[in-house]
Amino acid sequence: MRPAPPVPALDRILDALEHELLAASDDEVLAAANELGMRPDMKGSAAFIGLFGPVRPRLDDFFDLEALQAIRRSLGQDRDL
Amino acid sequence: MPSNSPLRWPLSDHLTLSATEAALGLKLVTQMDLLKLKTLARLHARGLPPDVTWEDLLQEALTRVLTGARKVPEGVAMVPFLAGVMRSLRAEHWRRALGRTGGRRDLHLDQLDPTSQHLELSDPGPSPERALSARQQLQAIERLFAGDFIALRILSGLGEGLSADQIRASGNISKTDYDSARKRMRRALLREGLTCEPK
Repeated sequence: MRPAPPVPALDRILDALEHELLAASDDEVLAAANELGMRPDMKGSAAFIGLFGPVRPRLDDFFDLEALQAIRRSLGQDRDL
Repeated sequence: MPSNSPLRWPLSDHLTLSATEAALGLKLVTQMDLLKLKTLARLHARGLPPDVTWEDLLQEALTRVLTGARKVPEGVAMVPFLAGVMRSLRAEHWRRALGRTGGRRDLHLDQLDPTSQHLELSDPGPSPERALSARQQLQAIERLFAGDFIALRILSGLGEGLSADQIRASGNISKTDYDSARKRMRRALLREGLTCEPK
């Protein structure tokens, strides 16, 4: 049998595996974590790596970039603010 | 700036609160939900370019809920809803990528030349890069279940778009064996999803 083209095959597999993960019980998650030596009940557990921590601030967190662009346009393209 | 000012420079951590922390603080999700969401985000980030990480997917999905851009329908649990948002973010990424490369163009009927013998349409299919990346991800997923013949058979059937009954029939797999394999697959996915090793 000819294998399915990779992109639709991957999309179908990811969707099906998403259902599997959604069906996982809390006990299954804890069991998997324990197999990895993780203790999610402990503060700073490795299971939470990537979930918390500082987020890199972005310029648009502090400035209204659209307003800055509008001011820049009104001053002329060659002017720096 | 006076020393008693509530603002400090560099900005204090609370000004750079992640969407995850905000959602947890607002009790939109629990810590257990976050662990499941981590495994789901890592799954949905498969095949995306390296500059789009699973963290980006999850933070963006949570941000859309926190800002009200995506509203959780009544009666729908948060984890499945966020999984759906991440799925649509993945699809959105590829739609945009296709648009950027000009891989897909709408052809209006009034643009057709009735005298022409040929009709040229741009290829709406995935780019070679995306096809290669998808193939690599399929291989990586297969490696997760290496040695588990039934799991690999299920995976192959899922890729072909077969239903559970069709997979069982084509692979001559009993319901018990099928369900056991699904359980093993779930466990392997959870183990992989909870780590932060490269995909």
